[in-house]
Amino acid sequence: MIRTLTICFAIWILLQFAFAANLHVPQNVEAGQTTMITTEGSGTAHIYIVGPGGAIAKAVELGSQTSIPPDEISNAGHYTVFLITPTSTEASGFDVISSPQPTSLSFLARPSRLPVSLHDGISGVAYVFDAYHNLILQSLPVRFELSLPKTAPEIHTVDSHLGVASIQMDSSAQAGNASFEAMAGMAKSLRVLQQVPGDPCRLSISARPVGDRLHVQTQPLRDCTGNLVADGTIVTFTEIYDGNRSTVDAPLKQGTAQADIPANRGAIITVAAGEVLGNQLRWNGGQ
Amino acid sequence: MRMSMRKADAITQLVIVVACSLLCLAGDLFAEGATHPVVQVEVPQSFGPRPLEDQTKDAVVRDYLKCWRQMSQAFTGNDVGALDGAFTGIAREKLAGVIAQQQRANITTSYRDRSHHITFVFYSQEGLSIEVVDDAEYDVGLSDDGRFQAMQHVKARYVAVLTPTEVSWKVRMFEGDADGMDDITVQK
Repeated sequence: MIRTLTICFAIWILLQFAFAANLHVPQNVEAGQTTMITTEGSGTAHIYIVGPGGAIAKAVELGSQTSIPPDEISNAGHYTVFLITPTSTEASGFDVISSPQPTSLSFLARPSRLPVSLHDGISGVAYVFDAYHNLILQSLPVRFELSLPKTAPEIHTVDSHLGVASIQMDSSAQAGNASFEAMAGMAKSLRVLQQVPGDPCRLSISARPVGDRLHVQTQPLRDCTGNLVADGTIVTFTEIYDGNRSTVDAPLKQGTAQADIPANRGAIITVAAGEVLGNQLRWNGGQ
Repeated sequence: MRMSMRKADAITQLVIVVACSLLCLAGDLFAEGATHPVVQVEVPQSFGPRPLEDQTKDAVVRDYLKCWRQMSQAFTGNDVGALDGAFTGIAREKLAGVIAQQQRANITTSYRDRSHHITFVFYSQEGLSIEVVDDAEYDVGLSDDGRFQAMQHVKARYVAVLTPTEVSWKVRMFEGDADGMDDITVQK
């Protein structure tokens, strides 16, 4: 009886030694690199590598090195490693960290259309990714460049923080399609912002008789930085005569708006575009 | 006399059944309450170009915590559809890829979050993205071919970017940050 127990105990001890396993994992692995996991002992076991970024199961021979190719684990994040033998379970963990080389940007530029010379009117937010779409959490310089044809670009460099860099910029004084580009390393992303002229800075009209009508026309309408006000902007001509008021709306074409109104001697004619009022005329029959 | 005794017995049995049901219900409620993670939220005074309203903060925290529940549900059942309520974009694609890996390996995992320390780190000017850092503690469980294998308690830092959708915030980017990670114990 004692002999049998001794033999059983010896077998159990041998089994424990046979399957005793020490698990060695790296602390950090850069995305795109092979992950090497080493075990000690002898016999067979299963390794499981799990986390929100990946899940792998492998049968391994204890005492050997197991390599996990980058295409199996490339998502940045924490991974838990279980080594399970018939008699024991060991666990450890490691992190896959993003590669420091930016490969792509998620660039949000707002708004897509805005008036010229608007203070802090443009907002740019760039998230920086490596080749495996991992957010690069290490700080990186991100360059924001706003440019229009024939003008010097406005350039700002912002260090990213936890994968994101943002900026607010004034819109340019010149109207037109502006290129708004974010760059980090070799990664670039371009957006086009339409900068439209602001409200007219000054509005004035002239009038001349055409037959029995009066032809009224604005001077070219420009905003306060000299851009022609956008075509299609509505200009309202108002004629007040004998206590009656009549209005004509006309769209701007190439900076000017015009209309024909009844030529009433003594009529008062005014003009407005949006919130901007122009000069006032009194028609005296051309005298 | 015999009839009234039978009636008394029936009432007693009914009372016992109702009492047991109430006890079970209370037990369930207690158990559910016990699984709720401890949550701390930190909003630095200056963390982005846009101020954070309390209502937005509460909604973001609610929806971020929901993402952990949805992730666990998806990973436990290898059910990609469970991700839809909480994830979008890159985060959803990556998690769906992990579920495909689990299916190929015939394993499932469970994530029971125990605590979160959520810090708001960025809110974009136009209000279209919010980034949070979460020092989380959770238990990750492993099952192979339907058999439970092991569980480990993990402390790790996660970075999440959330974007607004029609009715809620969804997690668009979700990844671990090597800072702040520390495994604690193993259970079998």
